[in-house]
Amino acid sequence: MYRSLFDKEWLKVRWVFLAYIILSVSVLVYIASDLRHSFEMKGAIKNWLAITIHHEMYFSSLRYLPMLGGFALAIFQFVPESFDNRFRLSFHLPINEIKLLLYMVILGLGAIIIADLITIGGFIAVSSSFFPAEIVSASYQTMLPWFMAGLVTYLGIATAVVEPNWYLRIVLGLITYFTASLYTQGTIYMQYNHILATYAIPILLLTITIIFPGHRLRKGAK
Amino acid sequence: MSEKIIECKDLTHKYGDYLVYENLNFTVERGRIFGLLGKNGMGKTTTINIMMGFLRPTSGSINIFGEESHNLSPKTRTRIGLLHEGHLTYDFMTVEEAEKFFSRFYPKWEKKFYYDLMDKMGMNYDHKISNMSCGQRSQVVLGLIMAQDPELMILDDYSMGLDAGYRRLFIDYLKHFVHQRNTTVLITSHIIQDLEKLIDDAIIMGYQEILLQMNIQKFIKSFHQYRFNLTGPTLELQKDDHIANYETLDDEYRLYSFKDEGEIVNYINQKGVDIVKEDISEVSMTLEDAFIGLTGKY
Repeated sequence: MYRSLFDKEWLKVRWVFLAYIILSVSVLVYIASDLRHSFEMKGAIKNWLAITIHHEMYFSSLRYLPMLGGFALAIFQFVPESFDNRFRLSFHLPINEIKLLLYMVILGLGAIIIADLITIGGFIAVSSSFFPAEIVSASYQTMLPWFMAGLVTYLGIATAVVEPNWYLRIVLGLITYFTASLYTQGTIYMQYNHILATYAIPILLLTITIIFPGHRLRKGAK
Repeated sequence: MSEKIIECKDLTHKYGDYLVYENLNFTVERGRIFGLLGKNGMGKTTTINIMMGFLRPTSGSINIFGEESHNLSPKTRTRIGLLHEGHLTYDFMTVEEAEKFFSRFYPKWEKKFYYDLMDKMGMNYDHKISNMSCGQRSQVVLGLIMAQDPELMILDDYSMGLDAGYRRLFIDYLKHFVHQRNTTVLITSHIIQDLEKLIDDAIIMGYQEILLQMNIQKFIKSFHQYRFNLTGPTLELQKDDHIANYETLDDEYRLYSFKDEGEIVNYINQKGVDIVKEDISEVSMTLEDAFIGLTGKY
């Protein structure tokens, strides 16, 4: 049963999942070539000063990428179910609807986390070839809230798509946008390290939020 | 006494202030094929949505296999094959992917029924459902429901978007399957002509009311259309115990009634119009004629 659900979700998200990874890798290639260019033109000392004194983020092109990935994944996973009220098919399956929705969300989160881990791994590999471990570590820690923004976007948009009422759907979309934006505001390295645990709370809450519109949809709310 | 598979009790539904129907009562017993008939917008899909727990009724209830419809257990859902209006399915899947997907949910799954139907249509197993015509998609959905081998099939407007050939194919396959398996069926449709030889009992839904609830063969035998012409006097007609519906075209009158010819002649005479049996002719009707006669053309 769960194998079937896994296959179904994979059919819907496989291309967008691959596209997200390809886009992330392309951005990493761009960062690598940009760093090489910068090192050749400005030299190591100026680059070092730009990062340590001026907090220039050589990886800033990754800032909104996880949000874009989360948005696309939620759309590709949930719109085909929501379109023509195709959720009625899933809700007639012999499985509890709450379990069904949570399983779908967990699979979606899993896909994003796998793509993000690939991106972070690639980023560490690229950065390590230019910088010492301290800079690399500070850099990926600075990026962590951006990846959390991707999870918030995915969960919020998935909830909004499942929501049967258009007014509430728009409200949920706006809340998602503003909440995710909070995670991408940082302008200096490791700015949000002290509140990363706090930043994880909305993600945990949003993971189960989908069951509320899902339950209302199941019972015929408009 | 036969087991009641579906039991609808005093069902009333409103959308806001708009009343769809009031106090709908019916039962479907095991092995029966039950038609929920009516023109578009009469509440057929509303009833199905309530039946499958996708909608809460304003009042009343529907029990399926003894469970309340808005709270069907997953186990009971395995016993129900549901065809959604518009032959809804996961159209991002191929023929083969759809079969594999559903097969893992249903313990009695028999893929032979599905693939036999696909082979008959010459359908490639890697054909994506979204690229199919409405008729082809209807066969995919029917094949999936048959492979599930459910005890109860609920088929909501199976005829939507199908041409005559596909409707016939659908009905032929369905008929063969349900008679072989003694499956209970609740079917809705606004196209009646195909159902004459399929359904046992029916409810005909009218605007905010139930027009008829009876065995379909009994309905065809007992419902009559009488025609006569009146050149002189005018006959004032209204629906009542004698007249289920009527039409007038210039001086031609068409009366639809459950009463026999003699009673209709007496009825007209009592209205002050002299007429004898010889002036009236009874016109034989198909189920569709009778349905339109009862529900009206408009």
